Amino acid sequence: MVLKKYRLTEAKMKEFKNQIRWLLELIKLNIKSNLEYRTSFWMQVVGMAINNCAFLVVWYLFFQIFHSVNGWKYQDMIGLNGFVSAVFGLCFFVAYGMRRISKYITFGQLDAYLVLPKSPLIQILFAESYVSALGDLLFGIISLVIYCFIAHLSLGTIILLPILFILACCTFTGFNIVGEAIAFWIPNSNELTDALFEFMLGPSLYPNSAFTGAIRIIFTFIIPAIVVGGMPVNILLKMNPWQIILMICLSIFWLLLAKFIFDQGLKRYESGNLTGAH
Amino acid sequence: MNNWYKKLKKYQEIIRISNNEMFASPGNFIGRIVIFCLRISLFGIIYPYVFKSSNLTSINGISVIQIVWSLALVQIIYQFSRKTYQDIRDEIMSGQIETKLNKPYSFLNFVFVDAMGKMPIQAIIYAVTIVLLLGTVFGIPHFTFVQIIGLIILFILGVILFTLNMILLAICAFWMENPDPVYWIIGKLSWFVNGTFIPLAILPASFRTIATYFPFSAPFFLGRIFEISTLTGISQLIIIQLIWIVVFAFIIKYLYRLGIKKVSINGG
Repeated sequence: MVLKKYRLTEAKMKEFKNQIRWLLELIKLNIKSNLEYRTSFWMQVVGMAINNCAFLVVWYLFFQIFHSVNGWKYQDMIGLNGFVSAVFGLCFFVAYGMRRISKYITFGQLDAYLVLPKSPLIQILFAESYVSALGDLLFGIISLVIYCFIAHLSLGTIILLPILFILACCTFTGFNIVGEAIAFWIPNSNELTDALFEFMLGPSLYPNSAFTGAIRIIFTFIIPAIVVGGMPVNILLKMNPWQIILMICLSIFWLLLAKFIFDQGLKRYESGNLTGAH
Repeated sequence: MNNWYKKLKKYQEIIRISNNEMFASPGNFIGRIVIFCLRISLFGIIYPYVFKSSNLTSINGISVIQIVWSLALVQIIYQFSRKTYQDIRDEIMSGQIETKLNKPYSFLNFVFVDAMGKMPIQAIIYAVTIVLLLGTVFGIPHFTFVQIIGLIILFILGVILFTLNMILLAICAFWMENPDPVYWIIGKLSWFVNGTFIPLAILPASFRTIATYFPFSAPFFLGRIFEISTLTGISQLIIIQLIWIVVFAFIIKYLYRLGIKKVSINGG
């Protein structure tokens, strides 16, 4: 009976294809609307990419003073910053709506998404795109390419990179949704969700070899900062299969938790009686 | 005289409301304090670890405890006025600002007073948090009387200047569709030279010189209290902050006047 429920029928495949096509259309529409202001678009993209180099300079200075942090060197920081920037860039470029959830809840603006025949969560995620994030994505990709060369990564490792990237994106998205959905329980919590987001992003940019013991557990399982950047870079360096399995499990866990928390929260949602088209 | 009193009373009321608003959602407020504690704990984890693994006890005469404290002091400034940027940006971008222009108060004064009104209570809460957290775990570094007085003045002027920085960046929305890139770029540029990640005391002298004169790093001078601890040095930092406050106030006033001329009232 259970198996029957999850069996892939032709109709389900068609539905899945339709969903993907619809999502691609949404993303295309967001990009087009951003391209409406072409100068601003490129200014934001290039500005953000150049700007991210600031991190690399800061870490260069840091490693001039300290040389190594528990085996991590400056080149690993290039990989780490590249990975985190690419994850941040892709997630926010295609699905910036995840950072709007708490605002929609606080102002009772979810109604427009609830009446449409698609999953409200998916609709919200892909409702908006953050232009500057494309700059982060470009910076991330360039940094990762440089890292592949300077760290002399094997072909097998390079093939693994996109898989790790997708897993990190899932964790990042899941955590953000959970953080934003707090607004269902704590009203007017925009500043809290911002702080929570930054608290995940900040440690993800530090050499994770400095996190040991209980702190490492917290930043892996509760605030998944290490999963978004440090763990993938560790996997690329050491090819530890257990870490790959852990990453897969965590990405699935965060996505499921996000869906569960959002659905539970929706039951508490109070409309602001605002109507609008999305 | 009576007229002035009436004007001040209006802003006094804004301060009262903004303070009430701060505690309207205790979950949000407590959550932010917790995140702040976790964030400064992070510095307390990383730097002692890095110092230990590099067999260092101090750099340029600055000990690891002073480094952690200086990073935490810089973080305090970030806790103020960030909402100011978002509020003004949203008002301008959505066109809602038009509804504020015919009110019997200056919109700029309103946002400034709103941000400043929260400062005293928040300052006490964050100061107590830092002293309790870092004091318990690492101990309290030695402060001279001059440093304590300097710290208080640099903090107050720092918050004022940071608020003005935020207002200036937000009013860019009059000319740009979205001022966020400018906000991010300036923000990240500041990280270099304001001691957000690496205390200036351990960076090369050239960085410290840039940090002294870069307007967006001036709000964070309190993080340099261990590096510059003499009366002359602290006075110099205070004077620089005061100059930037005056300059920013004039620029904001001027740009705001130009900006509101661009507002188009759509009605509805």
